[in-house]
Amino acid sequence: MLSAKDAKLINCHTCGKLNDHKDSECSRCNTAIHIRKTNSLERTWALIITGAILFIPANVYPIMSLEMFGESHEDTILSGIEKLFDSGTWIIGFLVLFASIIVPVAKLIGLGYLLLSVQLKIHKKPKDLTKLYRLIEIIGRWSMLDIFVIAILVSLMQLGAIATINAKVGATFFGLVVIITMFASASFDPRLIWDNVREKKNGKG
Amino acid sequence: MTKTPLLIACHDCDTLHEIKEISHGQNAICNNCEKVIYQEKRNTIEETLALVIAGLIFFIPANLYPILSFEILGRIQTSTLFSAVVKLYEEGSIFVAIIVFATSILIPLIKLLGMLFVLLPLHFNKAPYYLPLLFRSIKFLNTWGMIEVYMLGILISMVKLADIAIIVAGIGLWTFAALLLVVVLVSLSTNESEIWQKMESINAKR
Repeated sequence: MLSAKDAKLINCHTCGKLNDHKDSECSRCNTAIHIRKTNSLERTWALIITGAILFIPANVYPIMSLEMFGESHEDTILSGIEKLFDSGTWIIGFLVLFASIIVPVAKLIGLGYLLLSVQLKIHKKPKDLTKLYRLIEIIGRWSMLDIFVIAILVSLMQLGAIATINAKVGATFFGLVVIITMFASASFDPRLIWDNVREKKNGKG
Repeated sequence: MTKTPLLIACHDCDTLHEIKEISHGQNAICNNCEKVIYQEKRNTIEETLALVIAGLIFFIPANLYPILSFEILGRIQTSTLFSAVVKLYEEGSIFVAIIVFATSILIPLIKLLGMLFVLLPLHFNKAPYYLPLLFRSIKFLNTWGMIEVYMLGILISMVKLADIAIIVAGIGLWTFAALLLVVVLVSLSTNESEIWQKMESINAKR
């Protein structure tokens, strides 16, 4: 399993053309090319730490306020989910729980695990690690679900004292978490997992 | 003339593979990490172009007509994709408004228009200078268009509000669903390597 790197080639991540390792730009699509994503580990760490910190205010502060028939109260992400479960629409409750809590937490932990495996040179099951990475890349965007629900509710419920919903600062923090974790998964380079595996094999041989 | 083997590197694990011919509709999978490394889909440019045009047509009513209307105590409030953004902006959630605008309206539109300006010249065997940059930008924006997530958000909002008011789906919702379907079909029928290869071969002839 000779890699492009071993063959002194760079795979353009935009168009898939193999370029000479001395080139700095893809000859077909002009993308700036690198053997591996630059500072992948440092950037991914920085982004997941930022994401983890922002996840706290995203959950502590309310994401929206509801005023109906003169009564008003505020909802956090978790209290909103609890309400969905209470009202008997547990499938919807589970969807929101999955998108707003499980996916972001799993992404942060999963990326942290991938980073540690690369840095501690764990060579076991590289295929599973790669699959974990692909899963993280695919599901990340679905976390935006709650933000869209808020947008729709806010635009529909603008009837003054009868029924009004407003977005609160928790929603801003949560939106930031989703965007930052999407950038985090984009900055991780799964080829680093396989570089370790190759290094070990070559060392032995 | 000796034929040198055409090589391709796996995007996820960097393993080099020799490109072998596969039949139409098949995928070549990396034997190291099981990533799809290339697909055999031919003549996808015309098919994708047709879908892109359909998408642009659906985009207009999906944005002009109300997605949902909400009726309580005889008062009716309707919502379009853009009015949701405006409301968020007006009440001060500027950042959330920007995210929603970008992921549900702006990026899907840029992607469709961008694909039109990539595929139309290629269809007429032309490759203007801006093509590589434009197609590259579309690929970069790929994960940031989120209309399928938005669609699920609409359905959840309908369930949430069903207890307290009458919720009616508008023309906007049906055309938005059609837009979603077309956008999914566009991403399924697009063969990136065919587009890059066609650009390259047109440029080589010049």
